[in-house]
Amino acid sequence: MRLMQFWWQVQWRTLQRDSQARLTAGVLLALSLGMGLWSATSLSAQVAQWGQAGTELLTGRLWLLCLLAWVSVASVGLLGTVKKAFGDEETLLLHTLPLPPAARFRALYAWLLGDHLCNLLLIATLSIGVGLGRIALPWLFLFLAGSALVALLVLLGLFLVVGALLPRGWRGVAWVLVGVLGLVGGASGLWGAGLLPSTWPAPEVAGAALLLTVGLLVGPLGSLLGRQYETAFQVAQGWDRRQRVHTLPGLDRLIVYLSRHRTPDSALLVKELLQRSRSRFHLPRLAVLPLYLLLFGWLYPLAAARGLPDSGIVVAYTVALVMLGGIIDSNPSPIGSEGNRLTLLLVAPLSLTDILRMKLTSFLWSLLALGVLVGLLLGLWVGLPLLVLAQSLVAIALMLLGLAALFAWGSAWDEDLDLSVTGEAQMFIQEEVPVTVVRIALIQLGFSLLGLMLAVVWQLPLLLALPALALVDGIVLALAWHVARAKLQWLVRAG
Amino acid sequence: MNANQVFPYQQHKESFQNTVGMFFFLLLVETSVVFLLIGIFAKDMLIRNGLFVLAGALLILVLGWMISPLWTRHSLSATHLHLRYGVGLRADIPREQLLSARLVRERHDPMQAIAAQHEEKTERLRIALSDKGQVLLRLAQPVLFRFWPNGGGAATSILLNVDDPERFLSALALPEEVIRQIPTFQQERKADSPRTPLAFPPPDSAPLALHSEGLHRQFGGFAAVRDLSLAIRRGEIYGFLGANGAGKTTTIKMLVGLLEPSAGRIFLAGHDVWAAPLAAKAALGYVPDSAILYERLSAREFLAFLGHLRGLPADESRARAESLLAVLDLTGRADEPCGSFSYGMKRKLSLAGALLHQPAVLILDEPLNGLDPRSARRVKDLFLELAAGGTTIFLSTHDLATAESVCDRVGIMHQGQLLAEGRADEVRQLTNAPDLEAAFLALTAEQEVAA
Repeated sequence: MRLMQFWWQVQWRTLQRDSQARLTAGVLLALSLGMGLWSATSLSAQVAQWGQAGTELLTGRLWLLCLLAWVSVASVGLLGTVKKAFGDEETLLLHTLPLPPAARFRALYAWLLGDHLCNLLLIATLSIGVGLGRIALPWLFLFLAGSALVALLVLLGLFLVVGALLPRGWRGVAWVLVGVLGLVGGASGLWGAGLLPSTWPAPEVAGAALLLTVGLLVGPLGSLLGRQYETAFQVAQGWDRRQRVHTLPGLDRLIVYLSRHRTPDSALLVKELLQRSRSRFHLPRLAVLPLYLLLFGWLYPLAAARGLPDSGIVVAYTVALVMLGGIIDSNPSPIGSEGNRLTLLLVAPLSLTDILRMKLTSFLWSLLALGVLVGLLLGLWVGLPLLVLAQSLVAIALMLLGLAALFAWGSAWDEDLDLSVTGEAQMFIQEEVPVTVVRIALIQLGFSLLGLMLAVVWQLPLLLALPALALVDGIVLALAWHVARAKLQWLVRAG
Repeated sequence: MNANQVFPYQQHKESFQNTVGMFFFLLLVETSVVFLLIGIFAKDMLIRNGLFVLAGALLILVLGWMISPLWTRHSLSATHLHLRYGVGLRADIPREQLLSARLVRERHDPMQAIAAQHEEKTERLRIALSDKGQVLLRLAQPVLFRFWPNGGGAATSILLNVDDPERFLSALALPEEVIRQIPTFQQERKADSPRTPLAFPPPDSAPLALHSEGLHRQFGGFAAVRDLSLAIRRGEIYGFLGANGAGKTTTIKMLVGLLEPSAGRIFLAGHDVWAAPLAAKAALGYVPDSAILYERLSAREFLAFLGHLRGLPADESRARAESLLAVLDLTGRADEPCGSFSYGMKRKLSLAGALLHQPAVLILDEPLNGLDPRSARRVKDLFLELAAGGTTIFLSTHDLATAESVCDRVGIMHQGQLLAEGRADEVRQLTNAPDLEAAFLALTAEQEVAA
């Protein structure tokens, strides 16, 4: 217990001495109070309704509320606890000190309840305390005692999974399945036999039982849990933490094909494909693509009702989707995202012209692939005639060319040769997020260009719109080219 | 002298603006979400409008605080140096506390520029917006600074930016002996320009592989490199030595074509780096002072990319990559992402990338930094093997023992000039020093006194 007391002292002194910690704690506290009070007002209205329907219903609903709150406590508790319990520096230090296993376990428990779950518990306490009014006290007692037990069970479950089940591989998974099925089967059997109580127990009695269990587990049984923690910790220390690179199925064949062409352009394309496909957000982006396509089904009748031609709708939706998904959300700054890695291209036997061309083509290919695929699907969906579909696809390609040139070459103004891009978080911000002034300006220009191109597509017959789009592309390419070249030359001149 | 002299900083704010822009964007997104939530959940008109005003005011306050360093205006009165950095720092330092000042160019993290920073280790107050126009002030004794929101602490030095650092230095009017220790560029140019290095001629048996004539680089009023002429022959290992800020990295950037010289010419394998860059770069292998990698690629993929980029045939590229991975002890980790590598492993991979196309000239900026003794030995042996095979190696290093043991000749840079050049024993003889370290210290100290 002295360790827990010491931990609380450290937290308190940190707050006393560190202004940033005070600021963070203050903001979190204000947010928690705000959220707690807001949810309390909603809950109090709900409780009044339940109360009118009878005491039994009110009790049942409040039990359900507590169960849901405990599920949240368990979920939030699990997040971050794996790292804290097995990989955190503070924890590693704790395991080198001459402490009994129970003390280490209690320290971890104190962190989970007092730090990790603190805000959630505060919000829930405020919500239940204020929301239930005069009947709040026993339910608050039940909720807090239950939360303390749930946090303990989260730790115990984690220790068992890491220390006992994972080392057994598939057999471990089988044991878990058997256990879960047994529990569900047993509970169903008891339910069927009418052996489970038909009414909910009184909250104060249940709370006292839960608190007693917590006391037992943290107190007399603390050594047992501590030993479980030690076993799990030792297993986790032996984990192979080496990372492996993974290539998406199918992509490896494309890479082998592209690698046969020994040109700088294909080298950059291969690199971009590998690099982008390994972003943590790549798969989620691919996963939401079908949803965006389904959204077309909702938007299409609205647009058609305004008298827009089908081909114009398909072109507009496809290009807007590619611009949002393929540029703004995933690669808003093809050159600027390189940072100091552009050095690798600048010291290779490549001219600035080569570098600009390569960056545009490697960027454009992925946009074209996505644009043509989406355009084709949507065109077939609305039943465009074959010739109109082909013209629409050409219009999509022309529009994407202009946008790609604007973003790829315009982003040279976002380039900083001294900016090192290391670590997953920095790579994500630097490569995938539109966060710099230049990127925001490019997005605004991109939307203006998109608007202009859409006006061309909607106002002119498609056959006339294509040369007009080509003319707009020519102007954008010429301007963006000169601007990008000037910036790269300046970078090398100014250092 | 009664009126305050004002020293604003209005130049080179791009990186700071980008950082603020990033935060502004995030704030805008977050505030929009907050507004949306208020709109959805706050039903009462009064509460809703109140919350809107509160959130808007908070946004304006935070934004104002973030951009306030853009109006940095330090000033100097007869008695005090008045530091004003954003809304967080207002400090007045008595002039008798100022011990010395000099122009510097230190690496800069734009994230730190949003507010004044106190570096506990170096006892330094950092109020710099960029790495340009930096002045480092040293204080006679620690001064306690208090600023918001980082707290503050005692500092013995202050790093700041001003638009005109030289006017700032002369306005400081520090005691004369101190001024002599921090000569400005113009003073140095008048006193000793051009300076002839104490040089021994290079061995003339092999053709020149790396050659520069009158190389000069100016950053505003500051000359980072002055009249540098180098002649390095094929198969030679040349150690380029100097303290931090001596001009080594600037020279290297000019040699590899990443920075245009203000004056002078550079030839790599007989090709002018600026007139015929493609031919020169085809003969060049470069390892920068920090490993530059694509961290989501594995080591093997990274080398394959570099080979592909330079147009090496696939089989040849693969074979060379495997051989280099083996020599540099990276084979066992070759399929792991580079981002998971230790600092030393990243440096070794960077070196493998530079060697992949078997360049005629290898330019290396601190290649042994961060390597364990075994790896460092391997790399040094590799340099000797490469040089024996005809590769010219230009090696910038702080490690004088390595330079003495590996390099055929060394050149000592100091304050942008080549002070001395020759074989290690020849440089030692210049000062009758027992080793290169003592010679280096003696030569650079002589130069300080002469200035």
